[in-house]
Amino acid sequence: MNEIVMLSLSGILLGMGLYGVLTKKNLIVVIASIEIMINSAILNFVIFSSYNNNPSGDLAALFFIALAASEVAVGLALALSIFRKRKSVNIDILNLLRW
Amino acid sequence: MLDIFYLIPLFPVIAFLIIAFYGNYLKEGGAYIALFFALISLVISIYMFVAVLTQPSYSSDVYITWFSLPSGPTFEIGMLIDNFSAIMIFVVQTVSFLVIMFSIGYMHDDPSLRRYYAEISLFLGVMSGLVLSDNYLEMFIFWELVGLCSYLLIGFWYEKPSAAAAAKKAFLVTKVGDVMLLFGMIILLDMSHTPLALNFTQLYAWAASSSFNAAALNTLTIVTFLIFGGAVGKSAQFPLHVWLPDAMEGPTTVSALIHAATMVKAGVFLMVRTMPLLGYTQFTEFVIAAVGGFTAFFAATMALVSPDIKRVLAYSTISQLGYMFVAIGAGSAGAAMFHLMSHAFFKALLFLAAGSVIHAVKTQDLFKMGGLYSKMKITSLTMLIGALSLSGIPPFSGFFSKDLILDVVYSKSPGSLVYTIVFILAFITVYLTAFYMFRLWFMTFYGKGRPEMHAHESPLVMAIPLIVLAAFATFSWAFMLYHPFTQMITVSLSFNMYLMSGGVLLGLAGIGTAYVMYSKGIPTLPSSSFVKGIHKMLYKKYWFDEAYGAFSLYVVYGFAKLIDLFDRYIIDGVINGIATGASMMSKYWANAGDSLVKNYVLYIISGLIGILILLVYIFPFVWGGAY
Amino acid sequence: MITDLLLLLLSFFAIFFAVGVLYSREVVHVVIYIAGLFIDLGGLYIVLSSPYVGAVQIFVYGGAVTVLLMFGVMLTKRTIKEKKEKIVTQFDYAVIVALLVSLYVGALFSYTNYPTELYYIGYYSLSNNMFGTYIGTFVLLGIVIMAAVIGGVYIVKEEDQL
Repeated sequence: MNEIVMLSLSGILLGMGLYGVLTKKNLIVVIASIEIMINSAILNFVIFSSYNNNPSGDLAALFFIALAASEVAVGLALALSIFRKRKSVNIDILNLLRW
Repeated sequence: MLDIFYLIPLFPVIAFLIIAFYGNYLKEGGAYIALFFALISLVISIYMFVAVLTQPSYSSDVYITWFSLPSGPTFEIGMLIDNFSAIMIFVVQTVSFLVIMFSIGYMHDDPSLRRYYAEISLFLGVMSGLVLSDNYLEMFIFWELVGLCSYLLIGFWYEKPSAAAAAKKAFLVTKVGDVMLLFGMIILLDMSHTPLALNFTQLYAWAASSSFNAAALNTLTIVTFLIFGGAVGKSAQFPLHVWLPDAMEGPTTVSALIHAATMVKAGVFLMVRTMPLLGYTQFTEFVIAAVGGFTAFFAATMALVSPDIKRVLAYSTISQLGYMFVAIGAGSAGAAMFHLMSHAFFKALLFLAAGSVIHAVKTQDLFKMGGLYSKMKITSLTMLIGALSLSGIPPFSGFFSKDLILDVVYSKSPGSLVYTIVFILAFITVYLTAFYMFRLWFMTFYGKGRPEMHAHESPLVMAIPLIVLAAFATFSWAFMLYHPFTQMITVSLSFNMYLMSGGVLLGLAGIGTAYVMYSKGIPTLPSSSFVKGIHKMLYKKYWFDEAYGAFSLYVVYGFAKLIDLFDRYIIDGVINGIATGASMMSKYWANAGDSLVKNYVLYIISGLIGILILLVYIFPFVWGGAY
Repeated sequence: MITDLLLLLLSFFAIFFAVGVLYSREVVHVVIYIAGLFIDLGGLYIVLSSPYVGAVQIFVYGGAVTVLLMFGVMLTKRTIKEKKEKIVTQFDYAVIVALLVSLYVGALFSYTNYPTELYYIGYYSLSNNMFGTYIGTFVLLGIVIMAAVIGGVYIVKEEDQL
């Protein structure tokens, strides 16, 4: 299809991921929503790469996939740590960021 | 010769300083210092008068530069010595000296003598300065200073609330006139652009040499009208006449000096100095004559029913000042100045004699007086001379000066409705003047005395000024014989027999009516309600004070309250609103730090979106050019 | 033509799965839908003529990340039985989201000529770049992954382990 249609798909996925980050109450689901956003960005790169015949976009997509995977690993490790401490993964327990 | 004339205002000011600081250690509160310095000034003034008299067209202007604006006029302070200032300074200095001498006896028992003599000396100094001024700005400065002295002296007994109120009223009413004068001066300065700002001599030359187009004539009319407004305020003409009767709250010597002989004449003097400009504006001349004539009649009607001896004389002053303005409106400065001189002498005489009476019987109410002739011969005789002079009976000076004015306006009245009406008003007022004056004299000195009044003749220090002034009133016709004098006041004496005899007959008729009504005691009013109504209107001074009071209360005070509301609710409202808004905003944003991470995420993302909108959409517009 | 059809279908399903992520009541369903999304995106990449990236996506995301998420869900459940969540749409957050999306789409539409041809990105150019120009980035990426692994393990350890 036209490139712009694909790019708008990526934009819609970004919005949905953002909605999940702002709204969801479970920390794991928030991390999953972050993953959706990252995937939309990677999708953008691949679209640019294929419609403009530029291999750099593909390469960037590879790197970002690896990076995102490691990021989700660390994020889930943190979530586990929080669960062990506070016995819950509701995001309202993250209220120690004050004076 | 000219070098010493600046001492005329200077010596009384030195006296003021000496008395103000050391008056409590001096004998009689510094009175003799005041008298001495006034005498020196008087001697120099007489020298000036005689010098100008012997060179009738003398006119010299000495000045020192004060400051100059970069774009034009230079402001200076100087003296203009010519006929008019010579006459006026002679009048002012002579009357002031005699009044100070009289005060030594009259004010002897007052506790605040230092203040009195200091203020009197200051007044003499600034009044002399006003007379000798050579430009409008300097005259305005002295004008305001004279107003200040008047305020201080009217409110001399300031613990009396009526005196304090009268002083304030005098100051404020004359201030209305002063503002008009200031406006007129500013417009005139803008119009004329003479090298020396507002200098009289240069203004006369400018007016003579310029050809005025219609717009310039309109502006000149406005200027002269505004300057006349200042004269109306200071000389208590209609409609700013309300302060002079109340000014009688001050000591009688103050009334004699300031409100009869000198300060109120300053308005006339101002118009005399403006005469060459008036020659181009016929409208203002009509206005001046009309206001003068109307005031003369109007004030005389109020004097007919007044029960206070000083107030009768106050209304009389207003009326006679109206005569002087009639003369100016008819184009004769000489007639105005001559009447100014003779009126100053006999009005001061009348006031001082009234002061003598008040000093003796301790009351000012005419209805409580009577039969004082036998006890106070000198006072009653001198007052009789003054009354005859005021009524225009020959051979006293008032006859000559009043007749001159009637002559001048009569000669202008053919073909002019305004001058005809003014002449008729002035002519009728002759009758009224004689009537109220002799009503006063008969009620005071005639009839049976009251046994409870122990009146005595005044001491010598009070009697001498009375006698001297009476002599002036009697013999000033001798001035008329001296040809240089008449040349000095630039009048030509044409004796219109019908007019002169008509005036004298009216005066005698007035005296006769007063004799018939008042010499046998106080008459009662006829019971007709029309007469009672007119009496009430005159007694209440045509309700002018009530009208001005209501205007001040409802209009001026109401406007002030409106402004106060505006300030309180709108201006303060804005300030308080900003403060309230800031505190409301802070309360709202204080909730932002609630330590929940999910809210922080929201804030971060919102800020990010804001920056993106800025970068993507707004900055390209701001930096112009294609997206 | 067939590529267009496939792209349309895959896009539709991507959105379907994303909506499923947001509107499911149980956490486990979220993981299922997100796995579906990952695989769908992998397919999308393949159709978009980057098969290698698509394969990597399916392996890494559809495999490893999904398992990670599943482990996360399993290890942080308080009880086996959890009460169902109530799904309430929050309007103000939706506004912010809509703002962002419209910003993005608006920026998109301000360009005029978009290409419509799909190109095939081969392995050769990919590997040439990865091990040629961008070798440094590759090595760095490896180091980052190592750091992430070590860090993750360290965060999770208990007191008396390791």
